[in-house]
Amino acid sequence: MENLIRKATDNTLGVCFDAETGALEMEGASYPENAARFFKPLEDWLETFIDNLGIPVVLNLKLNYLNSTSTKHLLDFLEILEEYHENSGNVRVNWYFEESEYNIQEMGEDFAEDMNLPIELITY
Amino acid sequence: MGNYQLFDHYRMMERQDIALAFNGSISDKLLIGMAEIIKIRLSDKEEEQKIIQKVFSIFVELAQNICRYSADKASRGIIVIEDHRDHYVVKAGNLIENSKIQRLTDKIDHINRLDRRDLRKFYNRQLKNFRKEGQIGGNVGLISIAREAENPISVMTDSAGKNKTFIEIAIMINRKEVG
Repeated sequence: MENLIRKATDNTLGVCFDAETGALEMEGASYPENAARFFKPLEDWLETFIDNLGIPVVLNLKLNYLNSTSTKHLLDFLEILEEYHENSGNVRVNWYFEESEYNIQEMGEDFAEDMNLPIELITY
Repeated sequence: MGNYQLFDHYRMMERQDIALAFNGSISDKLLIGMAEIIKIRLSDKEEEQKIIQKVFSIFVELAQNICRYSADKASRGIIVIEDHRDHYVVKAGNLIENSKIQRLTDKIDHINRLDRRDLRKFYNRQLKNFRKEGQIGGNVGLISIAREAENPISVMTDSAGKNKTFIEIAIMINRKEVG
């Protein structure tokens, strides 16, 4: 399975999904008008990865800004991981945030509380 | 051509402390550019990072709200940032189908009645209901604006012909934390 790499732009995230190690990274800011177009391939990749490889996954998130539609798509992405976790997949999410970024922190707290998914909040 | 002079426009903008104004259709590239201008302008006057983030994210959501709901074919709208001594105001206006007004104003009334904690809950609930609502956005953008600003959203409407209304959505961002 191919890795998925996207270079960060001014309004889309940098993405590095390693199919061999199960290390998934997303970082930066996301506010494109059409967030679905950006996030759909990431969701498809993750579903294929889980269906075919089923190895442990570590997702590292270093976000600094998400608009509301990107937030929704990130939630969709995390829900795929949640389902994997509920089917005894090995999943860990590291949610990094800068101390000044209170809204990214709150978003992480809310997802950690609402979801059946191990999300660890880490300041940097 | 009428008697319109750019100087009048300029003077009006100066009087109203308008830091940035745009009228037209807002593309992704344009939004990135305008967002950059806001960040630079506010950083230059040593605005607090937290306030810059608030103004930036409210601007993005309101601009994208225009793109989504404008009744104009090219998704045109007008967006303005006012930079006053102790607060900012972000205003966005566009044409909208009359049939959509009631729903939108009801939603805003509801949002304005919620306190900070309930807004956070409502936001998270709407985030999950996003797809079920069958519309892009599901007004999550408006909830996030109210959360960021910690002020009520104001709405004004003006009739613009038989089927359309011009809607103005405005929100204030305080420069100092309100006690």
